[in-house]
Amino acid sequence: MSEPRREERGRVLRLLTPEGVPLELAIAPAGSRLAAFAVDFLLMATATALGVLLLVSLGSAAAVGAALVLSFVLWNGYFLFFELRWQGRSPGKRWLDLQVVSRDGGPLTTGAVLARNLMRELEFYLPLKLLLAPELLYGPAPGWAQLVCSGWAFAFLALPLLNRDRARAGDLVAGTLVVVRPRARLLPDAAALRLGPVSARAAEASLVFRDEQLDMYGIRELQVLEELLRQEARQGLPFEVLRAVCDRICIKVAWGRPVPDPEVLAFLQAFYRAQRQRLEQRLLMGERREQKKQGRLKGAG
Amino acid sequence: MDQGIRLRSADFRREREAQWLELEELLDQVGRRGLGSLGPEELQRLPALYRAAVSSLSVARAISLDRALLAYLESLASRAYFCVYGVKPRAWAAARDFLRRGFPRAVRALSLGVLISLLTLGAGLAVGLAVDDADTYHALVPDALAQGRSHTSTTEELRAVLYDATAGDGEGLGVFASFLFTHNAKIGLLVFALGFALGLPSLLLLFYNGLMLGAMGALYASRGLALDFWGWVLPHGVTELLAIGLCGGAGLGLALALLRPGRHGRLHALGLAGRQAGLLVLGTVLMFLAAGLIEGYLRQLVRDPLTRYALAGASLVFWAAYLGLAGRHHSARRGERRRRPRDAEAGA
Repeated sequence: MSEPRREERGRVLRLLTPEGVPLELAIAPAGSRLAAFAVDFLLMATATALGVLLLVSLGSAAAVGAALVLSFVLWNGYFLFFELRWQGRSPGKRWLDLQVVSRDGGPLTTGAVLARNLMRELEFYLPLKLLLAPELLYGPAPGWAQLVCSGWAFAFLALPLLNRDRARAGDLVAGTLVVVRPRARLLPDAAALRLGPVSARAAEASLVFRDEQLDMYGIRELQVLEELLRQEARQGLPFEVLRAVCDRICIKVAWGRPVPDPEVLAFLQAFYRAQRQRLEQRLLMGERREQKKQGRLKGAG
Repeated sequence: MDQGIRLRSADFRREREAQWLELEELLDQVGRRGLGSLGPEELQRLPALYRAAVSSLSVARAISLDRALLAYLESLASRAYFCVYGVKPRAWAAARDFLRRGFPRAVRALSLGVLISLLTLGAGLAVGLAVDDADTYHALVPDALAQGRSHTSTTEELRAVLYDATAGDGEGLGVFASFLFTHNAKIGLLVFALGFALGLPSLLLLFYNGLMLGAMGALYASRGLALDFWGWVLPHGVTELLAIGLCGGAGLGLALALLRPGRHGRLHALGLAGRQAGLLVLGTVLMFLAAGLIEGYLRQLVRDPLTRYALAGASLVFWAAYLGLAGRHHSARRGERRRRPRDAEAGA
């Protein structure tokens, strides 16, 4: 069986709540940041284009003036408005479950939201202009100077990829970070799942594990088993997978008797419960066993 | 035996589950319709439920190995944390506080950068004033800005620009004013943002802006129109140049934070300066708006040089008094309070 994804690779931001409990928030990966920005950019560009077209079609001089101001306000105010109003979440960030937070865990101040978004001028609009209309900025500057300036401007664009916090220049200036806001649902307790045919469940009662058998495994393996049971409950797994896991456990803990096919699921659930009870007990005693022991238990059970 | 297995973590979950779900429902409602949609009772319940969730999380970390449960509590507690501690004052109160205190204080907090930036602007102006040949003038002043004014123009043509309205009717002035506002504000924002690149590009841009103005001033001075020219520039120029200088100062504030971070390290110093600078730049956008209105409307309507100078003088006195004095009391105490909680994360 391939191991389910255990831990998110990326970095986490640790905040200490005033109650003294540390909270861990995963730093948003560059890909979702980019996707959120693309959504926002499309919305912003569409709104600007529509507004300007509408106003210009009115034809009067005042409308042209209004169109100028409108595009300025939309272009510079879009992120400010939403991030101030929705606690650091623009529509794109909302869509992708991202949120801007203050690096020190305090409330997101107006100054911080302003600073991080004003830097877009340097990080995005300037490189964009360099790509689309370099002659506007450079004029008759020599080629090598244009090259140096472009390289320098694009370095700011690439800044998030160069640090572990995926902070862009605006985040550094404002002391903010973008984190993932996970929407975990409360799933049923894995120990309370009742899987498999009723007839086989009766067999569970006869499955009693000794402490030295349970001590063979650690928290990692327990949580892999939890994931396996949840998957079985959600969508069902091929029987061979369950069988293989069951056989491996039997060998590891020297479970003497063969487990008949109909009882495989019952065996796995009973083992999960017993294992979790054992490990949680030891956790209370201050012992955290993360990993399984090497080898297998000697002697028949 | 199945009954023989009693999981403490499962008992714990059964006891607290209802509270978690209640909190989750409140948070969903806040997410959809805002904090204002909560009734007074729910509003009171929120902090209590938040504290319960945080304590559940810390218990669960100690006794439970149910990974799904831990993930759920982690997400619930952090969502509630931002809901409870992320509350900000109402927009209207925040705007008033910004104008009364926030903006002038931000300017004063970044005064070193502002000073350097205004001096650079002035240096550019002084060098520009020394330009007396047509070639250098052409190289410095782009055609769009020159509006056909060059060393080949007659004195009469030059004079006409200063005293004729660009467009006769009020509507034309509106377009002109909004063009000026957006154009100048964009320059201001760029000058600020470039400060992150250690300030050098900001300084260049400031110097160049001073240079252009100085070169034009020199052109007019060579025809004996110096007084008329400055009467044309200064009514809005005081506000506009000051605003550009402030943006430059904000940008240099970032550069200074990077160059001399002080004892808490670069990231910390940059964060502090950046938040002040953000407020400052917001204020300058308002200044650019004021300058655009003066330039687009008022100056076109006021033709008398003396009145123009009076207008310029009044705006200078106003900005000096406002930026120098507004929100000054309590400022010492405030500053101290702001610093204290941040000392904790000195290593950041």
